[in-house]
Amino acid sequence: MKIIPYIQSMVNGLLVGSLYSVIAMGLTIIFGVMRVINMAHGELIMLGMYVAFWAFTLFGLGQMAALLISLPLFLVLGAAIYGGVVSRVERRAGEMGTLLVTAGLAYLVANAAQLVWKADFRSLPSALTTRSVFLKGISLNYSLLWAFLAAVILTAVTYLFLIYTDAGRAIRATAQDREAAALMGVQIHRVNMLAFALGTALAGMAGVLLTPVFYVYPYVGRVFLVKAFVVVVLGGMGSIVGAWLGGLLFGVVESVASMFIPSGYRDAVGLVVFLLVLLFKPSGLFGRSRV
Amino acid sequence: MKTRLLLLATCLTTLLVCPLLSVFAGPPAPASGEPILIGTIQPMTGPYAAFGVKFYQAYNMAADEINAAGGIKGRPIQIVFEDSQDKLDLAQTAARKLVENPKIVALMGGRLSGAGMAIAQIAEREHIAYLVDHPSADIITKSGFQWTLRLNPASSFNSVPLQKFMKEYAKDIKTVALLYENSVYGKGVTEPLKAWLPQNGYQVVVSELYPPLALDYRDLLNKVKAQNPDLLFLASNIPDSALIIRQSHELGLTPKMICGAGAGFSINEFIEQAGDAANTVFSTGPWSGNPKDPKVQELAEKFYKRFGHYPKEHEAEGYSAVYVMADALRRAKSFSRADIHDALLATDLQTVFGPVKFETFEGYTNQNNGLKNGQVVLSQWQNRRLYNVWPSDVSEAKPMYPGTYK
Repeated sequence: MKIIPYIQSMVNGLLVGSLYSVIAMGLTIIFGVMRVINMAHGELIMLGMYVAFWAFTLFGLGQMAALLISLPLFLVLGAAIYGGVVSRVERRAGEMGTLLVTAGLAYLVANAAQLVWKADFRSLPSALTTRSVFLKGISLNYSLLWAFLAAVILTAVTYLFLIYTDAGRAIRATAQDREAAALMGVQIHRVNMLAFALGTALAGMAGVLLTPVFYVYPYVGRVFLVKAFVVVVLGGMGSIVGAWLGGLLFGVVESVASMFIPSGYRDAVGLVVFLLVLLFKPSGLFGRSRV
Repeated sequence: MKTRLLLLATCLTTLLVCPLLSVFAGPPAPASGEPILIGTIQPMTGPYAAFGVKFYQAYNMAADEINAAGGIKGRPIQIVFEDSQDKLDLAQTAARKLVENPKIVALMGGRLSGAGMAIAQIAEREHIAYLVDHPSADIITKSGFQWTLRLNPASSFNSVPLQKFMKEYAKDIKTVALLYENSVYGKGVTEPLKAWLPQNGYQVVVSELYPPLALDYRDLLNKVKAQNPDLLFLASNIPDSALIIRQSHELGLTPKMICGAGAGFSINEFIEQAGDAANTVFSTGPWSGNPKDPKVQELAEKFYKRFGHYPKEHEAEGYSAVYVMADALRRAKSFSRADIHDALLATDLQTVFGPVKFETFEGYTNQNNGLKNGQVVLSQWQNRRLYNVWPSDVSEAKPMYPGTYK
């Protein structure tokens, strides 16, 4: 009987963790290929959340439709951010430059969102989001369950794309060795743009999936950016499988740990994990050390 | 390189969390002489902006009425807003900025208790009267501040209607879980209750502080569900209050009674965001005036006509605060900060919020005795509206107990 709450907490951790995975995958692809730490990743998630929110509020579109809309939308947005901002800065100011410019972009997007949509907290109607199915006393929220399934599919598709398509191979080759890939005829600029677009699309779609379970507000991205950093480091920077497993692991650790510690320290769990990994296994649990 | 980048990334993340300051100024008052400026610090942007908007509406409604009726000795009053986002550092900056303007004659507002405390300290140092209309933590009027006066009930009073309800009506409650946000407000309302419970034979099975705006409360509620308490008591602000109710419904957490402590449980945004799951949720805290008082009913109607929603505790407090200020300004010997402070201290006024008189008692300084005046009530969401249910002489509906929405 007393075991139920712990199983419940593991289940919650897994479900929420799958969403961390999708977020972290986007971040890690961009980092792996370009060595760009995209500080605006959280804001892209926020934009994805607003897409899902407005798609439902204005047009009554469900999540499936919102996902389909957001995919091309965020691919284009990602390519535009790369072409318009990141690549220019990268040429002139290198890695530090891209870090700073994406941080600036994060400010700009969040404040623009606040200007346009106000600082209000918005959420989808609760009738859609609080339904649960109970399995032997374990509550499974429909929205979370559906988000989990969608996250699994998204991850699988991304993985297959990277492994089996030419574009995917080019991305992986660039991530492994940029110069060698260039010498083999890979067009680095295009690959970078594709990787950035892909990472952006993953952030946007993660946002769509997060909408029914969380709140939408202009600064919501930051909550997830910090977690995504922890997951990426945990899984090994640049590692797709690492990001996926790291997300699930982080979700479960965070959830189960808060059964034992006062909830005020919940966020500390992630940061302690962050420090421990950096101290003892800086390449991450699943990453190869590149240094 | 990678480590340096990471370090920089971490620093930048921290920087991103630091907010930007923005300024709001009230609309110009109808011209009839130079306006008398009253400064207020409210969350006009950020997660708690919904509260700031309520005070913005209430203050301006009262100020417009007072100005239309001739103002103060022929001069209009104007409320000058500074945005605090309900953050302590911003509240301090905002209060200093207002104090440095020699035309600002007094301060009011504050909203969250932490911000209220920060403003009270500045008011004490700078010798400017600070009229508190919502921050409720005991410490604000229990620190011996001479320049701070509070019209709303202190946080120790807030759970008293709930305590009476448990003694007189919900007698089968034995075990209690307390979830409260880690803030001056959360502790201020919950700790007096937490001390009272064991002394009166109740068992506290869970007592947890949580960081506000954490978004995911499933773990916390799961912990509560494992203990299966009779009463779940919550002290939360708006996004959290609705999210906690939604997630507890989702987890199938159904105690005999769920009771919030005002704040995020007593505003319309709560029912809008939590939906039907909010029905049957109780709230213990300041009232929004006696519903049987015709003046309160009149305010409700004109407020609805102008802003499209009915006033609750925040609006009633803010609206009354401006009238308290106007009354003091009329009686003040001059418009100097010291004279206005003296006039405020001598306040004895009937407002929509009930009688207002600043007294010094039981460790409180310049505190309107809301407990004695019956300005704290237990209310409940029924059919998407919040009704007073206890004590029965000011109740609008019968309490629905036991049971939570399933």
